[in-house]
Amino acid sequence: MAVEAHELTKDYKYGFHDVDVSVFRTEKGLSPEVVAAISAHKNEPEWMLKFRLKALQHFEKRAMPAWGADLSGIDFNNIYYYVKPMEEQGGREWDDVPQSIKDTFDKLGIPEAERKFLAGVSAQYDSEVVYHNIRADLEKLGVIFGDCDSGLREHPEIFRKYFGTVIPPNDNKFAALNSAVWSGGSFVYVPKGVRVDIPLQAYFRINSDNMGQFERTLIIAEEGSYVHYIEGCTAPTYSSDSLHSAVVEIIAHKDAHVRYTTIQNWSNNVYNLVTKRAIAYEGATVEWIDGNLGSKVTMKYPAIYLMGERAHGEVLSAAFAGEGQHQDAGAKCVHVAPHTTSNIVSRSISKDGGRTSYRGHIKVYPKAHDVKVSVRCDALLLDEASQSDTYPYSDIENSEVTFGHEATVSKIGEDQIFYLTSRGIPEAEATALIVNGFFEPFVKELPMEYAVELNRLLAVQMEGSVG
Amino acid sequence: MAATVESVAGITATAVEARAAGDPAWLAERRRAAWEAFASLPMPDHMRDEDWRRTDIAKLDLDAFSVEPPTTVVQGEALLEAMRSLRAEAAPDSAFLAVTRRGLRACDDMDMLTAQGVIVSTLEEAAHNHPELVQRALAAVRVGESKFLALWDALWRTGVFVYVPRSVDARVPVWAAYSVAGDNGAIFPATLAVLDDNASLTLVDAYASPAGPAPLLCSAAALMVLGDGARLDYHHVQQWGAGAWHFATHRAVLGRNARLRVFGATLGSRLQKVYWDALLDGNGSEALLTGVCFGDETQHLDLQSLQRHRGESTHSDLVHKVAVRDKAVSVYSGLIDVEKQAQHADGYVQNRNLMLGEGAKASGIPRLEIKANDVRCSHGVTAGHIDDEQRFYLESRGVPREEADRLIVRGFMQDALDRTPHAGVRDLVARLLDAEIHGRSQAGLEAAEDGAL
Amino acid sequence: MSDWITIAPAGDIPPGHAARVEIDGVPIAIFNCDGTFYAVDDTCSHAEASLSEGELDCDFCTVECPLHGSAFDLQTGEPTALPAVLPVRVHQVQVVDGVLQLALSEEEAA
Repeated sequence: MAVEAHELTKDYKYGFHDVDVSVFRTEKGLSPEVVAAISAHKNEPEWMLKFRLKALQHFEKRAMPAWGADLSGIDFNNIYYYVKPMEEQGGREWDDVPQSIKDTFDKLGIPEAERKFLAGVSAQYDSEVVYHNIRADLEKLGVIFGDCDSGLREHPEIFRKYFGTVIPPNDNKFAALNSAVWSGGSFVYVPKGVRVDIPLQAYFRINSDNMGQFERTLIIAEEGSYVHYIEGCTAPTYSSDSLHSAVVEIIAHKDAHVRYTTIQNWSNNVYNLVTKRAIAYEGATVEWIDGNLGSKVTMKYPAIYLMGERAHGEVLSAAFAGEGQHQDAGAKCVHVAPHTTSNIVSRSISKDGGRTSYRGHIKVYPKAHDVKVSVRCDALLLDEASQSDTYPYSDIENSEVTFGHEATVSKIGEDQIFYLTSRGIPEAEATALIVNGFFEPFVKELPMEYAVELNRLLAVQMEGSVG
Repeated sequence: MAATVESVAGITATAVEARAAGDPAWLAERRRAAWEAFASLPMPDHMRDEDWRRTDIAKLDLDAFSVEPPTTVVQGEALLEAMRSLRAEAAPDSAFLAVTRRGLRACDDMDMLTAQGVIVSTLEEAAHNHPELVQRALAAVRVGESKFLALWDALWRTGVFVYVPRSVDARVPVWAAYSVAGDNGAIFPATLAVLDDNASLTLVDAYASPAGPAPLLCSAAALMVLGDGARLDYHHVQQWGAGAWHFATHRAVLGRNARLRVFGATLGSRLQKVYWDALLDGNGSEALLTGVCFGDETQHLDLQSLQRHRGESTHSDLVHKVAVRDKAVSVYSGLIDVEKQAQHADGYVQNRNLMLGEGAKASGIPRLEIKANDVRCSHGVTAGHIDDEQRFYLESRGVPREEADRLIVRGFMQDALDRTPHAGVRDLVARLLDAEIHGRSQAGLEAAEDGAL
Repeated sequence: MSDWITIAPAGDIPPGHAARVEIDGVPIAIFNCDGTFYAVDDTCSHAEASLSEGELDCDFCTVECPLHGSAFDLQTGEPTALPAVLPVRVHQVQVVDGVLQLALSEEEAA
């Protein structure tokens, strides 16, 4: 027979050898030149440049998703994809951080107390890590906690071994975008048997007009280790839309335990499109604690691939959509290995015309027997204008499985309100109390300071003021 | 027996014209428009169409089917007898119509209903005699809405039509039996029912062909319009042979305070994709939908439901119970859609899947789109295998394992069976399920094939 | 072991190129990596995509699925990145007198 062969290996036609490295800020919009400038500015190895350029090609070819939230407001050409605020990367002590940046953190009200208890903080400001502090004892244990740029530079073998293996560049359009222009984000490596008792935290922020945030986080937990990583971010309001497209990859080796907590409160003009995925090997546990309060549009479905026997996945998701907001969030658990379990709990509230959507996928592969999965989604609609959707997909391909999914959508029960108002509590306060109670399963998983901050934010949302 | 001659009556414009020849002008026009739409619409594609993502019909070749049985082969009787006896078992008092590719083969026991003023006839006749009524029901389908509905719209013949006048409670059920025999038959069952205000009716659609691998194509539609306060109990029992491709839309539009109960039993076919559409347009309307489905061998059984709440204070409740064995695949996708103005809506969906074999698969996708807030909507999907504890309970009381398992599967189906509106249909389906559970596939009837229908 | 099936002159698939053939209704992808031939099932184990349309990396001996980016090791068929989790079957290839021959894997197709 005659065969039609076609060429697959492609030589990149962009030979960027001499690039203007003094570029302080790339021009608006996306092109191979911009991508190469980013890579050159960071002095990256060849493989990373190729990776970025290939990802850019995928991004350009790939169509926008035909499902999910309305993304028509994104103008890709009207965004700066990289900005560096400081000459050198990251000081070590808080004192070295520029005053203007400290002031912004002050305005956002990061409590003084928090700073004392933090094990280490990487603070992202305009795509570059400015503040980087690792406690001495963590270092002694061999724990690496820094930014991805440094990770690539200082730990190239580990970095390259895992980078892009959980979320390859053309996994979806926005992962491709991130893969092309990623900058900053955290790199965490916990060696075998090490328990990191204090949560590792990082802050992100979109600051200047038309800035996109493309941080990339990579967390590797070796056998038997434990780490809790917290990502909490805020951003002020701008006149034109901002884009946040992050990628988080987690690898939990045998018997490791990784918990990843997010409280997202982007301002109401941000498109927050995130790809988060973890692999859990034998006996490992991965937990996504995912809080979505802000942004104009969020599309985010934390996922866990249970690849080893007795692995366990947990997703606890809370979403609040106020006026003009659409939280399209959910979870995905893929059971590849037998004797695995997963548990998903989603709580969402819509108010003032906001819209929350739960989108989930449970897949049990044919060889995954003795699997238990439980999914529970509850949504509250606080008024006539609001909307709630649930789109749970389940594909069960092994018989020896116990799978249950339940979802409800309703308004706050009249009897609940009456119970409180009949005791002299004004209706608005009663509603706020009930809302707090509704989110309680989520809030109780947060460290104290976050719980306090979240309750404060919820109160603000319930008052009707725009965050 | 005469040798089977290749029929030249395939799914073609000629066949459409042949149908249209006997129609009133308005219907002929609709048929032709439907055929044009069908010809221009692409086949559903599991890569491109979300509805079909888990149901791949790439191997279906529409050109292989005949809408007319070969003229040189005699008309069979055995299959018709088998259809008759199903009806006799479940609803002996019902008005019975038997439809095949050749047309109407039986029309029995109409008197009771005619005396009440109920109209029961073929759809073809009704199109001539009661065009406004037929149009009311046909309005539920937009011409060209989808590939298989357009095919149905262009090629149905005979069909069954029922009209129940205002405030009349039809005293006996109407039983419409559709059957096909002989290789590669294509049939387009068309059951339309219009119930005037406060009328009530029990209706049954039974589909069957002989057991065996003979390819068969069915694209069916049952369209029901319920006036204010009307009550309809609609059942359908699908027992096509193991080579059948079954596509059906069962759609009802409900007026104020109307009540619809649907019971569907799926036992046969090679592959099915069935739509249930309950459109709760009138305030206070209510729809209770129940499905039982048993898949074995390599059957692929797909049910897609819509509970659309448009009026206020509407209520819908769907239970779909599935058992899959061997390498069978079940897909259930359901949407509860509550529109903005549909306050005080209650909507429920339960899909329960019992997995009985290593290769069996079940997908459950119950969805909610809620735009009104003073509502209570919930859904649940479960998938599981035979409960070890239940099994142990029975075995420890001396019940052998195989028997214990059968009891458990039967118990699993019981509450769905209990929701069957008509007791006779319930008992019939229970018997068929028992046979299925005992390993005797109910894909097709064990009727000796003595001809072509 | 399955029988050897004659496919085509080896020269029809130059280095860095791929071709897709169908054997018994099963699509198979054949790759030429710097002169060595590999053959795997053409359909990605994750979704309906054709690996022969993917990206070949001869340094790592992998092919990357064009749809979501999972890479497959051409020697073992195992995925080296998510979202694919299941391997694709590997088929034996040999060149005899300048002619490419293929023997189907004995494993059952997915």
